[in-house]
Amino acid sequence: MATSAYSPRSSNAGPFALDVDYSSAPILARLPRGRHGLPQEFVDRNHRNRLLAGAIESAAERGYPAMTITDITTHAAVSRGAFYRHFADKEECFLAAYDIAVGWLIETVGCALESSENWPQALATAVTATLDLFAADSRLARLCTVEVFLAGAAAVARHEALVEHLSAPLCGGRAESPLGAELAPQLEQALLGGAISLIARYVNAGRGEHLPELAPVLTELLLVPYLGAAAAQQLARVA
Amino acid sequence: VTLPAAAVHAAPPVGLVGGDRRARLLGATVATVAERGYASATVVQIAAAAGVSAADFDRCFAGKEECFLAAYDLAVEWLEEWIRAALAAQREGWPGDVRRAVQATLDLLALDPRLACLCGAEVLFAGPRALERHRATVARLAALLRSGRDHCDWGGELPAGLEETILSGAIWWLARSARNGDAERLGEIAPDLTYFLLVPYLDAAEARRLADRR
Repeated sequence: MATSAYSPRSSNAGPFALDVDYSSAPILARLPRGRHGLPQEFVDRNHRNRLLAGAIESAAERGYPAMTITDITTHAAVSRGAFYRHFADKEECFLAAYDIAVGWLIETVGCALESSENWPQALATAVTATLDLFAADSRLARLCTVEVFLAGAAAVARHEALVEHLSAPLCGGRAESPLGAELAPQLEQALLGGAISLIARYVNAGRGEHLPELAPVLTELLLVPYLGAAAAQQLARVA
Repeated sequence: VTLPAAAVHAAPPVGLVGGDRRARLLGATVATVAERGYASATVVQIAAAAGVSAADFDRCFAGKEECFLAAYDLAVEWLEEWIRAALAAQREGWPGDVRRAVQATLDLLALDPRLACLCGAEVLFAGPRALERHRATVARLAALLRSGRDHCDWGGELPAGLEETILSGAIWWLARSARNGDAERLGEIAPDLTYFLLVPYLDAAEARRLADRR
């Protein structure tokens, strides 16, 4: 059983590969009724994971503002008492679920970036991997690009930290750019802000599963300020 | 629109000095939301900041969301009027108009950075109706950029939605700058922001040159 909080999704993992290897453990399964003799630690972890999965489901279904703790516990098939053993309120539960989704995203991007020494190629791979991840489970896309904005100041701060984190690999473009030194320090923030808005527009239009078709567009968009339009277009279409 | 030469940070937003109860509430909304964020701001706080009673608030607006949307609409109206005025003064066509529109936007936001919080950040946090308005604003502003497609050989190949995407990025940039307290230096980012908006349509060096032109 993997113990990393942010376990990468294996190709056949379901949307809720939370902190365990989903393929080998029915971690989200309901526990047997009555006295089952399972260790308390196992029960707690099972409940927590089901609650997090329930939060992702509820946020996608009703949106963060409308979603209630009852929605979460209903999806999770866990008692309200168990909810409060793990989380103080809806916000805390949402943030924990968001952190897990972001962990997957960061892992996915990180793996993709390591796939090539060539910066434009690595970036293109990361864009494709991100869109594939979101398309495989558009609830994650909704969580990371729509609901996070509606979930209060702590969630927005986490979103900003994510953008900050993703800016670093994008900065690699400065070394490739003839204009490197003249590029604005906030360029990466603006590019990612635009990229996130584009993904959000797809999600809001109910087109989450079509996100991979954006890969060339998004890659081109991210390359343009560094390489210029002509080179960016060429590289994005080859990649 | 008449605007004061300088706006004090704590003052009511540009254009809303004095005015009736409703106007005071809109001004208080801009201030309260910028200070506390939409999610944490309450009707009671907004009413208090406006110096009116909660009952007066209820007479003017159905709730926090209605009040926020009215404040947003007003702020965007100023912004668009401000841009229109700047462009009317000297029509240059693309890309000169883009540079002038950027400068006009930054000038307005430097007068009252809270407008950047309202129109760039809080509108994203205030629910689906606010988001719909944000999308409409971006779509209107995108028209100004879109003429760039006629200025490059690859205009026809550029993806639909390019303008909306880069504008959303630019707006995020502005909102971040305003939130991080870089508001006073907003005017300085005009060339960088212009470059960001022009570069999909031009050779990068050419975009830089045009963006740096005063």
